Amino acid sequence: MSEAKPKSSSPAFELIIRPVAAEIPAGADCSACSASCQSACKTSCTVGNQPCPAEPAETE
Amino acid sequence: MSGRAGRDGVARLSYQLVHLFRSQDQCLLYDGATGALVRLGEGPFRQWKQFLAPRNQGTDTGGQGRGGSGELQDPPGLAQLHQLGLFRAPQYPTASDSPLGAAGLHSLCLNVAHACDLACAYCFAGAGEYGREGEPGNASPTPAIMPLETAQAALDFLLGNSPPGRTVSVDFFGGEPLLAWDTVVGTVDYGRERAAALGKQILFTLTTNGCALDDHRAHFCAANISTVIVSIDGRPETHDRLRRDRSGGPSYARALRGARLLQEALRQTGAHAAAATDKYSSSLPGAVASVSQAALRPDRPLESGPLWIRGTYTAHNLDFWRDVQHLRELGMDQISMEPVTTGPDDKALYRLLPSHLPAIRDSYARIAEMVTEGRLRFFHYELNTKQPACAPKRYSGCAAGAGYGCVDPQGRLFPCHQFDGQPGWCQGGVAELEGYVLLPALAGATVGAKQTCRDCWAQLLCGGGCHYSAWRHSGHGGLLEPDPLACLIGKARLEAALGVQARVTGSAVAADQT
Repeated sequence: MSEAKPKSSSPAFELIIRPVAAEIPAGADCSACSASCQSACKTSCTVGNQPCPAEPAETE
Repeated sequence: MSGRAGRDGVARLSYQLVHLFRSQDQCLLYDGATGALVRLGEGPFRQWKQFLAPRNQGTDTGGQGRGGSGELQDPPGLAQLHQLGLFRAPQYPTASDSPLGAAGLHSLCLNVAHACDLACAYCFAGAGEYGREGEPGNASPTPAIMPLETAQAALDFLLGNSPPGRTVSVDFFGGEPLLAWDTVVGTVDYGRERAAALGKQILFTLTTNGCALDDHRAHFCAANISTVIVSIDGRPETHDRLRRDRSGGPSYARALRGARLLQEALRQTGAHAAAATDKYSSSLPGAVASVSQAALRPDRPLESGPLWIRGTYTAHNLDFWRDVQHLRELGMDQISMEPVTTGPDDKALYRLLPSHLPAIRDSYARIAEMVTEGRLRFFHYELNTKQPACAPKRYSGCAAGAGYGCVDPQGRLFPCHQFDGQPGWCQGGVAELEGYVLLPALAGATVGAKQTCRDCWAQLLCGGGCHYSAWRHSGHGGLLEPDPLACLIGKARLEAALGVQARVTGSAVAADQT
């Protein structure tokens, strides 16, 4: 970031969470999802708490 | 640097969903359209507030047209943050490219018991019975306990309607699922066998009031259930005020005994050592990395493993942070505390009101301090920042009828456990249905379809909220208008959660004022 000066003790801003991608995936990202919303739902209706691990299923 | 961003006429800056707030002595900017979180210095925070005050919402092209002639100077970091990807205009999937439901069915709630050994005053299921005694057209009460054959049919439906190679999950719920113990045990055995034959992974969770747990059941759960959620509201006087047994007696001591049996069983089986791999934890990779590992002190490792304590707060305990503190002092370090749900015409004394918001905010702030200090994991603060929610979750947070369903003791499929038994929401019997079909009304209830949500900074974190809550708030008339009090509480909670993230997560980019 060319305009950023060296960090001081009191920066003008600190980016904590980066922006999510602009494009909207059409569902392919769900194909490997092992998310279970129900336990999240019963304790939350907040997406941030609802998981999207995108991990492949473990086969035995 | 004033208004450079967007002067090429291509990039239009949108401040419509920019939210400025304070949390844990921090000045924070959250960009609701992109999910970005920024910590500001005190001076820049004031300049941003001044910058956003006259516009409230809308788009802008650099310094053009601002306040009539662009007389306000750009606040510090505007152009840099824009270069980093902030201030895009929000966009929403159209009906044709909606990702909802694309993945089929992935989890089922088995309401194995339409019965409960408690009669909690605030239970959404009518003391766990789901109104089964009073269903219109029923000559006799519907079964209270799900037969094993029905549960097996439900698992066949789940496994047969999920994409190949996929992990599926099953939650035992009710009522009180321990009243259907034989069904629970038989379902776990059957599910394991069927899933293995199909090359799938199946995970089981169980939500219980804990009162009917004994040593044998606790050990079964420790060995077979990936996450156990025990309902305890906190201090004894809080818990026993509304969580009474069928005779009107208290239940705190039995619930706590059950939780302790589980803790001990988990310790003996070594499950606590695998806390990071339990279903809940593994499902939140970003949260585990950003909150738990960073916030929980090394000298105080997790003790509870896959055990979570879930409480409900009401108008009677707006200081519910004390209930969280009480549970933590008992050694419970994974806690969720939920606002009680009531209908629009409910006059119950425990009902939450808008006037309670300051006290609710205070409790959330105090809990945030506990989490930041590494004293516990609080469910709602485990935001997944490293790996944001997938598109379906971003645009519709509620998976009711869109990958998630609930089966009642008769084997009827509903969109979720709260829709169980509600008129017009039965999707058919799992033994007869030919496939899993997304309900159009639920598919259309996305953030983009809800005007209230389109104007809200929290839309990507909340996803539009709970479909059942909206349906009940509307008087069973629609799904597109969220319960406003639920929104206010949710936003207060999210501010605290973002404050925790800002405290425990290192900054990705920092810049001085230019």
